Amino acid sequence: MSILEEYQQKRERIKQMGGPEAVERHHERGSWTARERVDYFFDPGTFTEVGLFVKHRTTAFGMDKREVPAEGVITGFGKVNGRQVMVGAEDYTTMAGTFGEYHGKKFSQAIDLAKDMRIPFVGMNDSGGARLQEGMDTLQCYGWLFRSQILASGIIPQIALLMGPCLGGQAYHPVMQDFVFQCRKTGFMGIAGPAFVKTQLGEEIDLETLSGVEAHAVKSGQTHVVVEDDKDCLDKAKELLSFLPSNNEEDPPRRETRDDPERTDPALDALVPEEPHLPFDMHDVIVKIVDDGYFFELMEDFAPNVIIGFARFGGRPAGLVASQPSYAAGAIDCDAADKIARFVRFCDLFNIPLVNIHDTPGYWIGSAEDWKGILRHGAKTLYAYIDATVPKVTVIVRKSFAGAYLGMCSKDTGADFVFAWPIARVTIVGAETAASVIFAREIKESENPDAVRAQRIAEYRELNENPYRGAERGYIDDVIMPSDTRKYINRALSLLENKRVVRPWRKYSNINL
Amino acid sequence: MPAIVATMPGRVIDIKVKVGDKVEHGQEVCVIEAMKMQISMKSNQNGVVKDIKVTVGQSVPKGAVLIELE
Repeated sequence: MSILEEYQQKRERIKQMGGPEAVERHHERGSWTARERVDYFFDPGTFTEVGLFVKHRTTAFGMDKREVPAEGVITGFGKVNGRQVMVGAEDYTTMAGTFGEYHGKKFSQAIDLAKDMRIPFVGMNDSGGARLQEGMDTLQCYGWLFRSQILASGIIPQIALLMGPCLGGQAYHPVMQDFVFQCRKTGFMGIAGPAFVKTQLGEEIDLETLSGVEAHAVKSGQTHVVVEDDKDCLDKAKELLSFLPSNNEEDPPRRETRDDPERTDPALDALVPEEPHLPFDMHDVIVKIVDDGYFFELMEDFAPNVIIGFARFGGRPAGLVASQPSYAAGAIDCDAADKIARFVRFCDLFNIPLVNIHDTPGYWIGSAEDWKGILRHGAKTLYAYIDATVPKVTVIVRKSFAGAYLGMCSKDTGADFVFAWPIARVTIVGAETAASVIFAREIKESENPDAVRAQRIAEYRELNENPYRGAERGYIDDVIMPSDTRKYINRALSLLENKRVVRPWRKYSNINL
Repeated sequence: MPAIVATMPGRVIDIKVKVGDKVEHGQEVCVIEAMKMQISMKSNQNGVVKDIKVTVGQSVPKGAVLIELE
């Protein structure tokens, strides 16, 4: 056999991964193999693999005789819709994709390369966990991985795709990336799996309940996008990438659109009930103002009292933060504050303008939220918005009361423009509360307390529950017809395209983490 | 036992069903008011009302069982 033939054979053998039986078992699980995923993800013929021949050096426990093709992880770069992206795809068919010294080294070097070349990194997680045969070397390589990804954070977008299990310390890896996608039925994430939980705590719980999509998309708030299968996952990851710049020195990619930036929508004039206690679905407003009605929502089922996601205005990507009055009154609780703050900071890191839509009565009050730390959690949104230097446009569609007026970005907490609808009510507290405090004695001492209270509430409401007090002081730039909302947002974003902010040097602000 | 629980804390201001009523998935069964908003609590399944655990005017914490179904 010639050297070239030998080379080709060698290469082919490694590319077979865990072999036909392991691949078959993987397909039965309903999953694609790492190579199939990489093939589908990248534009045809553009993928270049790095480190195919990398091999572990462990000798204990029979490892000296064990071949682990590509060390259980495919790393390399290629084009996604014409733009360079780096990938690390774990291969469960190869020694269960276990994370050992050289598996870890490949992974972290891929992130380092992505950072140095200023291109996004996408991780495809599918691993049985730490390669315990390698002991200390395995532990150490988690350190490399975390260090690489954290030093790349804020320089390049990082996206985790949970397509298989990712349990144990390794699970910090997806969580510390910017976005986590999780495949229904096959993607699992957690600090420990059911077996370890049982031996240490005696808690009996199955893998799906402990670590599946319900656990993280609904309960823990660590999954941003739930997907049905591998294909859906890769399609949605590509969609997300289309909103993001390749790095923090670029603007997000602008796209041609046929949707007129000045388009008005008369349906908006009748969409939101004037009565502040009646709920409506804020999604109905969102789809009417964004390009082509297209909204890429994140964390749909966690803290649904606020809505976050990406959309385009006049072809420009923007991050959207909106109250959802039809769930928990659209008030900001601890979870909602966390959800808003990290999203705002991501957008700020990657030059993505923010559009904020208010219909919120305030931060949640009461012992449950106060003891959970609503003040320190709520503070995160204040920090995030005031620290952010990207363009910020706020639209107050109805209520914007108290701390939430500030915490969802008002003029002095960072908005470049604030527009309000004529039905907006922007003030410190609702008229009932205000009148009951200001006129407490008068109401108490009156012969007809109910009538006096009602009259004072009406007076306070007339004076304060409107958009004009704010507009008179210039805190609201204009009161606009609901139907004109898209037009005003687009005009503001056009003006703000060249916004630059210079602030005195500091290491960073001390946000209430 | 299947149950409909409060998705937010607040005061029960209306109960739309009585024991023995058939309810469908998505049907409004009760209204809770808090933070200046009246939110409908909806059934998350089809069933028959077995017991109503709250009364109008009562304050409930988040997650409280409002109605039991069978």
